[in-house]
Amino acid sequence: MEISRRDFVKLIGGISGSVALGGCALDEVLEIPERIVRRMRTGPGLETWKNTVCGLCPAGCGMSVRLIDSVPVGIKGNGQYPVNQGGLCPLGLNALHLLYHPDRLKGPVRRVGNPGSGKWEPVSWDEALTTIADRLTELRRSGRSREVAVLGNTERGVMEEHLRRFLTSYGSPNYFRFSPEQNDSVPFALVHGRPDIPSFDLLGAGLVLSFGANFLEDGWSPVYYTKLYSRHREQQTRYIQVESRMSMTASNAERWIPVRPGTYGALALGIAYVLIREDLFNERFVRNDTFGFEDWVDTAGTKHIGFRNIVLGNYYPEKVSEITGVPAATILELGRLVGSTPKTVVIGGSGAGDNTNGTFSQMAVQSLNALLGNYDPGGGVFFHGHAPLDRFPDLTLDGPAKAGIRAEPLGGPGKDAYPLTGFSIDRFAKNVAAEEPYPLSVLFLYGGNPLFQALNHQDLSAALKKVPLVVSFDTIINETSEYANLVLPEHTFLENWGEVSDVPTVGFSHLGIRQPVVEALHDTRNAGDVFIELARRIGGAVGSSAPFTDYLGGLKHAVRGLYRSGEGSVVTRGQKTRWLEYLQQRGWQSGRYSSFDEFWDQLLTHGGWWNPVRRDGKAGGKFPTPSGKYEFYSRKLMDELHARADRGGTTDSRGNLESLLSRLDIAARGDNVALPHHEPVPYEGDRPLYLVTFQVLPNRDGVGAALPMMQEMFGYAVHAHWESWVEIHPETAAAAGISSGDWTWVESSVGSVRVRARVTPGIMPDVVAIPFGMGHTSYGRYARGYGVNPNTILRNLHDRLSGKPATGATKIRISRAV
Amino acid sequence: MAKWTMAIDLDRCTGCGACMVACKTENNVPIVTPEEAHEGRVMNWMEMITEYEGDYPNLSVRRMPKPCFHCDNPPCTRVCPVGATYRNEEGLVAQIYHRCIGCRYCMVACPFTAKVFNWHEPIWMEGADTCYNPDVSRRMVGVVEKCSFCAHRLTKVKEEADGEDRSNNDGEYLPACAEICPADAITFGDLEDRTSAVYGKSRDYRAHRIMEDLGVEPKVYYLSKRT
Repeated sequence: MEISRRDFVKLIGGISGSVALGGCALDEVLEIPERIVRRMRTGPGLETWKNTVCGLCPAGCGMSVRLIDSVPVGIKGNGQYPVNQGGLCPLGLNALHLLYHPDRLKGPVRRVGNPGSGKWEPVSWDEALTTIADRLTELRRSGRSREVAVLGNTERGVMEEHLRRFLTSYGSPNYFRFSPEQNDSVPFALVHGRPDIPSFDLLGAGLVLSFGANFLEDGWSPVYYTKLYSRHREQQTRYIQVESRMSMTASNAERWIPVRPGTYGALALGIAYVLIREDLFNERFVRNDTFGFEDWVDTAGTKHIGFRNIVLGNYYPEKVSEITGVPAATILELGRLVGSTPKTVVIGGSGAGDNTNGTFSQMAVQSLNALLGNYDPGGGVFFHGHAPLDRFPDLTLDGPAKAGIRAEPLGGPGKDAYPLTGFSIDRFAKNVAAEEPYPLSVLFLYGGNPLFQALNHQDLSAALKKVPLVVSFDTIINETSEYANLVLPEHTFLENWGEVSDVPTVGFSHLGIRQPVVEALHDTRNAGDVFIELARRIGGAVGSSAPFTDYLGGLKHAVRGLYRSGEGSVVTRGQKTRWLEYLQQRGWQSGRYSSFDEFWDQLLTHGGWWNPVRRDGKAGGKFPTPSGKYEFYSRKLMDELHARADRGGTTDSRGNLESLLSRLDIAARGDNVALPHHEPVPYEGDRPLYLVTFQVLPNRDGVGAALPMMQEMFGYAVHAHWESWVEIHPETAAAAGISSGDWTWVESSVGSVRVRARVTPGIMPDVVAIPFGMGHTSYGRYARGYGVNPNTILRNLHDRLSGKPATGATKIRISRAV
Repeated sequence: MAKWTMAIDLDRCTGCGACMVACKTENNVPIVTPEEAHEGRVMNWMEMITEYEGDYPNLSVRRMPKPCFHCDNPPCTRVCPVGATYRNEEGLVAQIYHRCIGCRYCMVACPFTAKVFNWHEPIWMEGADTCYNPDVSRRMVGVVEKCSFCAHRLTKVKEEADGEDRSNNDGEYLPACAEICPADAITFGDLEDRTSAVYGKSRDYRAHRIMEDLGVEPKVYYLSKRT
């Protein structure tokens, strides 16, 4: 091609023109506020760092945000914060993209089309709040205050207190969190008598035996555990992972023991058999500090069978091998290894817990810790104190509030279901959809994405359609907020105040402070502030329930407790041994702050507070159970079941219990019910393969799907990008004529998904696995339409006692897609 | 003369991928469209290699985070017809992007496949224009790029040290991956400095370099008790 001089000049003109255009385009197309753009263009380029706490998963790692002329440009881990000690996970590192995400709501919106139509119109904060406040006032006036609910997620601490306080003073018992924490704590509460999930001493352990606890990828605090794990060589710690699929955690263990889904508890009891039979358990602890190990006689003179005899009679290696698929020789070997290695710690996790028998399985796993005497001081399982936050002032409830909170919670335990649950999404969805025992008029959705995460999509979407006013606080509209009538976008965590304290299983009490690293980019607000404003608009006793003018006031009030207690210290560098020595010399008091303001400033500068001093392991030397000991035989469970069975039943107590157990679909009878036991999962017989789901680090709970870099990273270990896959064992694949990269149909009784196969030896031959987190139908341009959501083909089953979604209870058929 | 060296402890690495993302955000590495990703055009300066070993159920997984090895005797610089890649005075293998003509000879020459090519007009998340790292220039379509050991950080550290009239301390210059690694698996420093942490690691009985027989003198050591 010949270019004339004239063309050349034109070309040059065109190029410089487009450069100039490119310059303007930034402000107009991207809707980044003018003030930010101006600052990044013309600022002097000063670098500052601000510490805050991540909000992308419940772990709350400390992060340092790099600001150039107060525009955030980078993130690294806060090296002073003791939970993550400078580390971060891929998702946390990518958090700035959430701040600048193009699909973030720029202000409150009202839905004008059908759910899912994506038709929204902007609305002012005042108008939106007036709409809600008027509706709330009207409901309260007509005595229907119980018809208001908040469905939260993983919020804890001060935000939880705000939401609970608002609903209580308003007069509704319906504050729920769709968080694994409540359900996960049920088995621990049964055996320990206290509802907190204990911490596990991985650093001091000689051997860690994990039953499906993927602590390096989807546990409570993956980065914390990565830090602990990385010391295993120096500490000579050995790791063994029991799991159906070789997860990232399993692949980092020295040995992976594949086990059939739903049989983790049986394997734990098989190991207990070896410990008891070969006298490898801690006899002193079992004799003095446990209840229900030997046969016993109650006050009425009835004989009860003990844990020892149940295990010896039912869980011999050959039988356990038949149930679990683990060879009997391996069970023996494991039992001997566990019994003979000093300081063995046993951890149960999602693999064991996320099934219809999850509570019983976790009880069985914990019973190994009891047999090993891990609850002794210095043992592998311990509890620590809580951050001494100041409580909010006491509420004074008026008449309507007192009446309202006595109503039956919509998501609590049912007559025939989930007797021990704090919140069951299944009950909630069914009750709301059926308007039983009363309809729901206003629903606030705070955090998370229940419709994407839950197994009962149909029920839940039917329920959401039934509620006349649904209000969401999401920053990006997701599957659940598609059903909202109003979306009042909250700040992203980088623009928000907050705190994260005492993350379960982290081995010390701590508090991370979240501060705005940048002023809000868009017209968004803190949800706590919104509830304070709503309370004020409703007025009366509700209005005076909000003692602080804003959320920050409440936060400061709570943190004042830390300052006053004089316990622990603001995090600092060199916090390890030397710091502990220092504290010991000072009598565990640091008290270096002359005023609260100084303490607060230090807290914001360093990013958090911690107290590494462990209280006693056993809460005053005793477990707060009915027997005051660790309970192999859970009296609490038996009492609860009896009370529930007799409520509205006949005078025949035994018959009542029998009928309750069959309604709950629990197969065990007699003393077995309250003892750890293997409860078979009701799998469908006509499908050959088990389906399990798993999480990957870049996409925690589906959150990472909004971010393109995380979508690209989704399957970095297997070179899968922007797509889901199904993992299948080579033998199974060969039998079905499937090779790696083929499209397949994975079909359950609920539905089917089309997904690419990855043939891998890291999975049991009769199990297939699909990662969770993709397959969004909403949630922004980068999430929508990529991959599949395995939860859509899982059966709507939940743990029978705790109500936790049973993600491992489905069987499937797989075939090559043509 | 400093000899900037990285040591990666594979017995510590869990394969979490934080190094990959830290690198991508630090160095403004673009993303690619899903279609391009399926063609294998994903651009990572820090790659994670995962291999299964053994037979079911006695399996183990071998992982290897793989940056550029910044060879002391780099094969890639020899083949570059335009001098766009060269070994700089700090011993780092550097790239001059606007000199690159996109012939990709260097990619072929690199025994460790450390280099990636901008096959398409680079893209980032829409709206992410405000959070580029201002210290690192963005690349254009048609050029090769690769891990730089975060050389821009070295420049900064040297400036600071010069200003205070001292030499850099061990650990003052860290690439983003070494700084963020949650497992503390990556050590970085000057191999010539006998007191540095990385020198200690390089003398560990577990330390080895990949394909040492090629004689390219890579400056990344891997520590693993497995052989």
